[in-house]
Amino acid sequence: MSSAPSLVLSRFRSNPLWLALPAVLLLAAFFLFPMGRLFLLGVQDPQTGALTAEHYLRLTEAPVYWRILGITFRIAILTALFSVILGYPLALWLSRMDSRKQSLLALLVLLPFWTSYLVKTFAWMILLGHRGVLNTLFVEAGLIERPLGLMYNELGVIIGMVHAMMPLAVLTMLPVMNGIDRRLTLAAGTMGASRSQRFWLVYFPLSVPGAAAAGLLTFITSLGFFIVPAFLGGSGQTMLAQTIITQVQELVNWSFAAVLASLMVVAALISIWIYNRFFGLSTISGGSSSDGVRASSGILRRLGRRFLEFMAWISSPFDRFGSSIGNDDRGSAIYPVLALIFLIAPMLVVFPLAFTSASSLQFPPPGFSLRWFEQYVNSPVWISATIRSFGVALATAFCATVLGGLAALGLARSRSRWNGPLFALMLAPMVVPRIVIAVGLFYLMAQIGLVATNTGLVIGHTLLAIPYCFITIGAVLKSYDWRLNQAAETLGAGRLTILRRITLPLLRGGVIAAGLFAFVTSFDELTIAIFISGGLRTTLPKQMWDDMFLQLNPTLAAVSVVVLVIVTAILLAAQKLQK
Amino acid sequence: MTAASRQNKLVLEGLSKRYGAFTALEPTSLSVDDGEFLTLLGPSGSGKTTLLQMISGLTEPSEGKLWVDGEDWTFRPVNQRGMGLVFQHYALFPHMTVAENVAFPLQMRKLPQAELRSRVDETLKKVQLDAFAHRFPKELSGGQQQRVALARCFVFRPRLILMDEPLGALDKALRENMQMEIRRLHKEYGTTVVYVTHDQEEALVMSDRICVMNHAKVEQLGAPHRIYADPETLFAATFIGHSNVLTGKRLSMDDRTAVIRTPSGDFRGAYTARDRGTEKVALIVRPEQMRLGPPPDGEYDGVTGRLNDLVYVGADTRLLVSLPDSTEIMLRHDPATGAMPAIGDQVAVHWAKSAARIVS
Ligand SMILES: Nc1ncnc2c1ncn2[C@@H]1O[C@H](COP(=O)(O)OP(=O)(O)OP(=O)(O)O)[C@@H](O)[C@H]1O
Ligand SMILES: [Mg+2]
Repeated sequence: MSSAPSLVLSRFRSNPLWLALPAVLLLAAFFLFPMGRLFLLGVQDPQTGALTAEHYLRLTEAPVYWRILGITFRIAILTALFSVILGYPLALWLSRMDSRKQSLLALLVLLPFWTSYLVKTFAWMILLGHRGVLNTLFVEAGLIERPLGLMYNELGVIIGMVHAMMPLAVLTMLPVMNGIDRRLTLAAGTMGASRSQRFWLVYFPLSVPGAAAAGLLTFITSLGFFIVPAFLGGSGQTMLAQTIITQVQELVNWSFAAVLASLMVVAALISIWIYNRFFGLSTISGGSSSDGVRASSGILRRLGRRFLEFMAWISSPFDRFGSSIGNDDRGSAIYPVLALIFLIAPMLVVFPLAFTSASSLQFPPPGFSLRWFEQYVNSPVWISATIRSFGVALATAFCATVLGGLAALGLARSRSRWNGPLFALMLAPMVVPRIVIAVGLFYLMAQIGLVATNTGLVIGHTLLAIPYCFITIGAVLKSYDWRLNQAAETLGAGRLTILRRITLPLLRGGVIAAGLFAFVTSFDELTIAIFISGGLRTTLPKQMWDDMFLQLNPTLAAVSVVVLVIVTAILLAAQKLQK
Repeated sequence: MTAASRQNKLVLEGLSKRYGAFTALEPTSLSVDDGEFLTLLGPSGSGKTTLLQMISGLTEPSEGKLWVDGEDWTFRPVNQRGMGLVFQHYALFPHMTVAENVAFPLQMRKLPQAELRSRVDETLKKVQLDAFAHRFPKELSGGQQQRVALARCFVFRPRLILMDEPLGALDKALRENMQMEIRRLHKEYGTTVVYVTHDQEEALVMSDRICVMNHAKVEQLGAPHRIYADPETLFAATFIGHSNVLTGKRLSMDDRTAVIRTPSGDFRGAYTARDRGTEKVALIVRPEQMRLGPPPDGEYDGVTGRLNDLVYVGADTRLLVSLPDSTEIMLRHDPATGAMPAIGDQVAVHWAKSAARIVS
């Protein structure tokens, strides 16, 4: 009898899945639970708590919400479509480089990926405005007589959104394309396939899972977007997330906000389900899926085949522009370079404007001065926001790395049937629209007094950063040789000693990289900060957001430069450490 | 078919490949007859794949010309060459079924649907895969995948097939099986085949002629038994079969024979070296040409040494003898023909001068 407790204890100790427990607890308390609450709010009477459909019925009463839903879907679909189509050739070009060159050039995609949406949007406002950089240039060049309406309309929103989402699309497609065996197109060539046939009949179908995953992720992320439409769109481009913010912050109508948030989650889940039906989720979580589309019914396959043959036929006239002999389907670098310029150049516009001597954002700047940086350094509001952001980001980096790292370690060592669900849970905060997480969290934290506290912010940001840490550390664990642990064990080391002396030193690069990613995630984070950071003590992104609503000024450009420089430095460090 | 009536299917004229300052293949000239099975044999990095890829059009040559059926094909696009190519790792299209994989080259040739079907069925039957037509490649074993790759290659009846270590990934038993399969298909279709391997046994079994390659150069080209009997270079002699090698300097030479001075004495042998100017040469005698005992008459040469080891290999025994300059030689000894010496004994070994070869 006395052995029973020790048996339980040894079981407890030996199952590595327990390492994931802290992360699971955090996600359960601050992610799953609030989401469940939010869903319930939508079907409960706010006073009595009885089940009711009245909030959902409101949707049918006010056509304005249908319009907003329609706009949101339209913009999200267009964004996903353009991001994938414009990103595909760039990813293709990158995938054909040797790995050293690829990781170097991929930095030019990673940089805009990690750069804050606010900085990107701010840059586009400078570029697209009525007296913006582009209009000024065009008018001066005599191309147009009067400035074009480039923003406060759908065009502006789509430009901004595609710019924001294309890096995600490229980074999702790249691993799939890297996994495609290049000998397959060579083989097709020797069997008589022309350039376009090699691409459309062999390469393209194998890359479809990657392109579809890119479409899925960009679509879901776009669904919950509010920064770009808030600044670059007009009243006709109000999206769902903006409406949710209004419902919560101005109308304090929790029930209806919950309805809208639930709709958003349902839309996201349906698109994930469709994707899983056709491709399987392993493509997204990094498993190579070189076998392409899941064996589907005969008719679909045949239709797809006809379509590809048609595409091959359509594009065959362009075959002769390729190289005359050999396997080099390398293609020209003109488009990919233009695409990289599209991703990078807009953000660079903040640099000259941060050093302007004028007190407006006129372009080109009339002279050089450091006054806006002085303004920034001497402003207690900006400095305290910066310091707070740094503190929160550091704490987040620590928490997310520890929790995500332990979870990755546990899952890597376990062959349990719980692995699948836990894996999904760890990645879920990346897939569920941030606005939904933020609203749910706000509701919960308002009740337990965590709003406007640093703790609340750190918890929220840790939720968002855990997936990145989990993926980054999981990736290094894949190549870790577990026999080293056994070797250490035979030499007399205990579990903790092994972790401290063997595992951690070997994983150090990956762990630090994960910490840096978490840092950047928090440092750039706006959505949760809008709700949780409270009135006076804001974070840097929240302060930017507030300022951008009031008035565009060169201080914002100076702050953008600061943010860009910090993010770039951290990214370069992370990239170096990941090797 | 006599040699004269044979057509040159493929002619290489000074074909070479350089990557920057590095030479992957020195200028190489050779010709392949119609219907011939030619094997490129050589150690890793000797340029076999490079040579094959230039024939296929996947790699552009740095210099030289490639003629197929008397036409200059040096810069012909890969998809207009109509050659069959079998890759080491098969390169089956993972998103297509077995039948679709095999049909692919026929579709590229726009064959009518009915004919396409019957050709695919027929070819799959030939490689005994008709029952697997609707499976995907990853649902097949390694050997089955290899047979799909062969079927996909033979199905469009290319007149020239290039294979780059197609059996490299298979285990020994399966490999021998597939060797026979490839031989059979080759005979049945009368195809010209250029085959790459670094397995000398495979090369000996399958080829009409072998092209021995080393250090980005062709060392020797000829029928397997010719290379075995009359190696031209030391590398060819040691890479194919076992050779006893006595190195030394050339003393004299006439039309066909030469005398070599080695630490163990002066020996005469047929001079097969391609290069007639070299001073440093080697005497080659195959183990089965050596006998125990002193040379019986002037037609024989011999050495003496210490018996180092005896290895029983079934029917005969291998004797390892080390000469005073510590060169080691090996000979076979049939215990039925004479008394077996003991390890440590001094033994005399002889061979017929006509069986010795002098190579460079
Ligand atoms: N793309 C390339 N760039 C630079 N060097 C190359 C390239 N391809 C091949 N080489 C070099 O050319 C030489 C010959 O290579 P090749 O692939 O022809 O060898 P191989 O005889 O097929 O060897 P193996 O038996 O290992 O396949 C090698 O030293 C190789 O490193
Ligand atoms: Mg090779």
